[in-house]
Amino acid sequence: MAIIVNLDVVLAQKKQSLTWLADTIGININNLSILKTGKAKAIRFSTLEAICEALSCQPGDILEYKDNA
Amino acid sequence: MKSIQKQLKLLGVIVAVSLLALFSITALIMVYLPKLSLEVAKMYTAEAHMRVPVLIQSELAMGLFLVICLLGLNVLRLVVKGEMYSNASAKTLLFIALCFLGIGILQLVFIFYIRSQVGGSITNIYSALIAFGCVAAAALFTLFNRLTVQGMHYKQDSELTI
Repeated sequence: MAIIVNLDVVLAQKKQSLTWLADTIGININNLSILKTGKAKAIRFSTLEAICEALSCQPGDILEYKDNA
Repeated sequence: MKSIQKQLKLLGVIVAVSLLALFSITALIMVYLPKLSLEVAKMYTAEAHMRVPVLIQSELAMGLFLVICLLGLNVLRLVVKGEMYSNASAKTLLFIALCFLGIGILQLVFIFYIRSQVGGSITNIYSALIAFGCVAAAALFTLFNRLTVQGMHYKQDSELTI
């Protein structure tokens, strides 16, 4: 997929765990894991907003576009 | 969503009972058909040579219908469990379609056989209608299969939307 999710990078920068993030934003850790591993097909704006608020970052820090060509 | 699930369960039970009734009636007919065909053969000795092929064709068609009833019960079980949009459900619907197609083909073979043996039999009209109905049912269940596969894709997209 051309959209890369850099959630693990941002978590490492903020020195937080996936479990902490799941508890903070109220999303199941399994779903967050799906997002982190790039297996998600879509992300809701509400989820993106919650993640950015919890990690004090921008959507561009979480999501990256990589041209496959 | 919960009320829809409840309605599905209730409808599932009603359809399951109907399928079980159809299964039982068909099984009974299958058991008594050889004896009945023997009686008919004794009454119409000129056509007695047709008894065995017609009996085989009828038993095969009813056997396929029994399989359809069992497969239908499996689909209902999956619907009640909330697993309608699954590989198992899609495959079962496809097998049902193939069974209906099988019955339709058997009916067509039956028609050609009867026509070659006896001219202008009224039975051919009923057999033609049954054949047409079975082919239409096969197409319908193939459509259900495609819709279920499409539903599976939508479900996966929904589950993988975080």
